[in-house]
Amino acid sequence: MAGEIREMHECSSTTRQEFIATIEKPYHYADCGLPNIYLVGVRQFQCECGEKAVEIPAIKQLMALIARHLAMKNASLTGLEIKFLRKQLGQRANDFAEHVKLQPETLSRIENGKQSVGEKTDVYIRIYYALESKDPVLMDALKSALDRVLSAHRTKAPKKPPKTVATIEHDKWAMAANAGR
Amino acid sequence: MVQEKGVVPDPLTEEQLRKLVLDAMNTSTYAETLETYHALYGHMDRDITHGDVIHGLQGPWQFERPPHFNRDHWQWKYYISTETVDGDVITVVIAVDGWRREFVVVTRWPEK
Repeated sequence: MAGEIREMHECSSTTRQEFIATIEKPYHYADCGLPNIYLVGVRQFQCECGEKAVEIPAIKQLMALIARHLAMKNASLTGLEIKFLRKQLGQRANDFAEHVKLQPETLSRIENGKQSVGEKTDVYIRIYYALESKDPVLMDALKSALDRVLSAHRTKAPKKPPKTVATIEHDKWAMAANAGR
Repeated sequence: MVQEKGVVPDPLTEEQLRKLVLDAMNTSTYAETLETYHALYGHMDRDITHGDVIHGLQGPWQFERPPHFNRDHWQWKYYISTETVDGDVITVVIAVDGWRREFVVVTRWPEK
């Protein structure tokens, strides 16, 4: 909170213990903003005075990976997960709410766990995240899903392709209405 | 070992510190960290997440006050004034340890 000052680790100890997080004893990564993320393989340090620090290589890639996992998971997104995706995009709450067609107050209630997210909003947020983040894996998944939807509406190609007419008017080409359809 | 004497190295400029931090945030393997610094993360103040820290360090920031040299740890400490994703002002404190080639990041809300 504002006004609460916690000065940085200021003891005079010069020795510290080192641990590597294992699958049996992973590092609980609460500082990412989600309650259920654990890391394996990172180095943790504990000073004699009890202060702890964790070494996180490539933190940006890690955050993007967590976001990708959220965008692709089967279960509905939680409020904290939506907040994580929003922060990953670097967007303020008001801007994000506008982009995903929510009232700012509604987004606030969702992010704070006071309101559950509707199915359509959940999907919309995932698609929006995929498009904005330009994560190649999410974009591929989105393209595949779109292909499946569109292929259901495509008709079989006729034996003789229809006449396609392009006309020029005022030095500008245009396809005639219904051309090639 | 506590060092109290010796020539105090020059502090990093904003530009040098920015490069050091951004390099470490992108470095993905321990082999790469031989060339760059290791990023250690200490306590985040309440409600500040690493997403906020990344956002704050990638965006425009400035020193909140001149760097402070800690003779006990023989390292420079930098106080960076920046903003969270939601636009709240925060201070990111970065202690750079040249001997271990690592730096520690902690955050706090600014003093009113």
